[in-house]
Amino acid sequence: MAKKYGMVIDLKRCIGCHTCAIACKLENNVPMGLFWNRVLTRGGPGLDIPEGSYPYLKREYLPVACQHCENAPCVKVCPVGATYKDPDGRVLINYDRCIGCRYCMTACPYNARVFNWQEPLRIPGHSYGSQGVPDRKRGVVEKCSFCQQLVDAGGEPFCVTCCPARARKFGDLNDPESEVSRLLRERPAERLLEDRGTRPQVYYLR
Amino acid sequence: MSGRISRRTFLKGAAVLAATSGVSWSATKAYRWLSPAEAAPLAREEKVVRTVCSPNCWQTCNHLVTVREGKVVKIAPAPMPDPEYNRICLRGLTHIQRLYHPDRLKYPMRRIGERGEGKWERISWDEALDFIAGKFKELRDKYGPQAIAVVHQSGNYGLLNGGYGGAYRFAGVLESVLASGSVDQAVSIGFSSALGTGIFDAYCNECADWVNARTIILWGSACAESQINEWHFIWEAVEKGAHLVVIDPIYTTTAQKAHTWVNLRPGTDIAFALGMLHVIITRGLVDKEFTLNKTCAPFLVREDNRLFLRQGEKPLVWDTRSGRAVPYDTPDIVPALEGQFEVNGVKCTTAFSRLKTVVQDYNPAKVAEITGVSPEVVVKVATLLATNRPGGIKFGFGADRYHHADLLGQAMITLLGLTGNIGKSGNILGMFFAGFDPMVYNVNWLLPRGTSPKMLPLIQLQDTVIRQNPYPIKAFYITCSNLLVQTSDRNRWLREVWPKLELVVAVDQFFNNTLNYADIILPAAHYYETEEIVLSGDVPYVLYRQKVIEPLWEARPDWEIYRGIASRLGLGQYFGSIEEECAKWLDMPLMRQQGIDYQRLKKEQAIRFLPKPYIPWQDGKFKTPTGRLEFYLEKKVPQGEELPVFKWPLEAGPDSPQAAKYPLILITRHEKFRVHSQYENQPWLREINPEPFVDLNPQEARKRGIGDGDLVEVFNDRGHVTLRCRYNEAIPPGVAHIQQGWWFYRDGHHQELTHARYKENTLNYSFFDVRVEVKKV
Repeated sequence: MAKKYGMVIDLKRCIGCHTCAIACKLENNVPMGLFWNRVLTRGGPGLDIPEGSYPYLKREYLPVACQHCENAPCVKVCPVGATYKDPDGRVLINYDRCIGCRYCMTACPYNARVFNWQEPLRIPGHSYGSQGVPDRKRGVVEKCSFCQQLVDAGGEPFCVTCCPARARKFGDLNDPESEVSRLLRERPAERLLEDRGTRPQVYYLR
Repeated sequence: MSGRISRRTFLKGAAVLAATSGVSWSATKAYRWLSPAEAAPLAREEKVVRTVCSPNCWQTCNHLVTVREGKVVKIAPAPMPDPEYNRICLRGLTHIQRLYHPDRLKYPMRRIGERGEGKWERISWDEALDFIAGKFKELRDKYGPQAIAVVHQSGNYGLLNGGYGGAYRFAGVLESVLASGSVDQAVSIGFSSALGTGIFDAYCNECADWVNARTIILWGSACAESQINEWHFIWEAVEKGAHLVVIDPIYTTTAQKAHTWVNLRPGTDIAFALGMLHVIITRGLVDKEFTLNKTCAPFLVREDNRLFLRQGEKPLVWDTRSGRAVPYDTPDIVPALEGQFEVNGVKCTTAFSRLKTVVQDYNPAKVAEITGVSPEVVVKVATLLATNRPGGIKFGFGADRYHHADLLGQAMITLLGLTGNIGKSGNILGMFFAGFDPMVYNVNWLLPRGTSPKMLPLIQLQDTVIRQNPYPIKAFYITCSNLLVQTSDRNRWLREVWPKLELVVAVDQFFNNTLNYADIILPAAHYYETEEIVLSGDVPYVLYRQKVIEPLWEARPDWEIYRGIASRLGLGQYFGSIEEECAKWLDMPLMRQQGIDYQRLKKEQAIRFLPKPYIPWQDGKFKTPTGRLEFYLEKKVPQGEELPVFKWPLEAGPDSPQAAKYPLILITRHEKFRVHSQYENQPWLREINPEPFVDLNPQEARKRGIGDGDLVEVFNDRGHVTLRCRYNEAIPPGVAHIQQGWWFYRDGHHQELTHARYKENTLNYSFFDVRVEVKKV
């Protein structure tokens, strides 16, 4: 059977530390101002602000990157076929083809895609991350690839490697023996905006 | 899930990031709209180097650093001998930015304007070292070696380049003053006294064993942020069914994860602990076996002087079998746990009876009045610790930052002793700290010349310089420390201390808010640019830091700077090569027994030097003179603090004379974006956490006509700071919160607000024991 890569994020474990967000920037040579992976605070009006009135409070963190939807709206709207669903179930971008029309950004209900409005600015000035990460120029849309360069070499996405809370698991959803499949059997899982029919391949355990 | 979250939620998060980052880091280069994307060419020359990150989160994470064409391009967690210690965090991942940061100090510089004016000239290393050594010599000749103070804090756990090895040795060779400590030590002073250990000794079960706990109390600890890599052990225990209690006035991420969040009033922790002791004692929840046989509970205390009744050196207990007082270690006795006795005309009671008397007033109802926590919570937490065992208390340093925090430490260890939560798998005793235990001290290495530094608790440095007594300090050599950002009463430093100093040398990597007041600044090498042994923090290993790249620009390792100065004073022989000094340091019994030498360490890079699992006190023998857990501290009888008692702190209590004028308690806690003041200027972290705020409960803000985002001044009689206000319900009414570690503000600094008043027996900074008011500007 073909692979269907997916991710399971345990929100009970997640502590909203942004290590996944920073790891992603480092591994994928993401420039200043852009994040492929963000940690949202579900609660009050801003980052880390809870909802409710002291001491009756609630707060939860929600890390969000590309959901690698099975029924990906971004793939449907891309006029040049730059965004595509690959045989292993990932939503990927051929950056050479991208014309920067940003239809995909409008179509994505998760706001997972970011656009190079300007010449990418990096600190440090040199390119960083693993070899094999595609170069992106000004005028293209970019996003999470489940660290294709690492996964295709037998590894795992870098956010999974670095997560201090060990909240992130990655694997083949089609393989019943995989850790992600096991977790989905054992614990109730949810996907974001299920009513949109996008069928994300990122699951959240709560 | 779709019911609670909308697409708007995702857009909202992105807007925050875009707004903050786009502005500060925008590039305005040529318009290249449709230039083709190119795949990065593959298979360029690469090497992976294993090294250590070692600021004072004390996680000492081992990193695998990828170097491509001479430049660091990636940082990843390194595999440890025990994989549960594989670790990295958001801060460690930004070292690539710290190395190549555009603002990094590149050359030695000399001040040419006034102090703080920001006018500098580049000088060569030889000029800098000649100047420093010349001035040191002049001061030593004129005033003696203690005219110089080496000032260090916790910025690096490296043996040679960090504060605890190299700086110590440098100060010892010079016979100068060594000013350090005074931070994070009050709770531990109270706690470790009962164990008979030092304050940063390895008195706790290693973190990997915490997963076996059934009750975990995180007391003033934002572990999920400040010791991120200890968190997963806590959570694994929770997943196995442990009950998690978090005691913190602020709704931290850690509190958010708790089963029971104890949101007590700031500064009332001791009262809560006494309430727990009350519940445990009055409800018969004491572990009698442990309390009688492993602690000082049955020791007879004289009513006349409250000291132990002794025969020779040995405290006596009342043997219920023979009906007389006998030495505590007499075989085949059944000591009385409580009661009144008369021995040769001296009236006595037991230490346990005295404790019972001390805590009798702290019934849950009274504790509720003081702490604001419901009486049921006091009963619940106490019952959990005593009955849902094994359990433990992990302290952070939130509750440490009040005047009487040592009494809280005494109460915590008494709680653990009375409930028998010591010496078993699953017990947590405060904090696990491996690298500073006496078993890994090498005194001969630290003091190679036979001369010692004059140790001065950092909190006494201001007074010492101002009074020029007991040491005539005329020069500071500041390393591994952002002194003016990380210690209190900043205005006093600058107005009263600084004018008395003829020379201030500061060694660092950036122009933080201390370096701008120095006379000579020296660019320090980064962790990745040095080779040495690293003293472990909360991991049971001795660690090897490999050099990843050569120091950039003209940065130099601290060790080389010491050698440079010392050799100009004719003392260079004490600063040998890395190879020989590391080898000499490892030449100590514990390492020799295990065959750990430098060659082996270089090869294996992380070697466990503690048994696995590391669970101290399994034999029930403590390092006190009696071998018992001595929660009754005779040395504190003069203060009436031989047992934990509740006292309001200096300023934060409602009885403070400051309370009317300054109704808010200022808490400056550690959050996830920094380790103390390190990483403050890391661009990726600033994208997420762009500027300092004073967090106020909206209720407090509205009372003062302050809107969310308004510019405000936080002030008291000592100073002020100007910054934006953020409405934050996580903060209780009556508290103003600022993340600690920010270098610069629009005006003033949060350390202008803090004071340097200390308790004689702890000499600890009480950073949170501070009152302020906030007004709109």
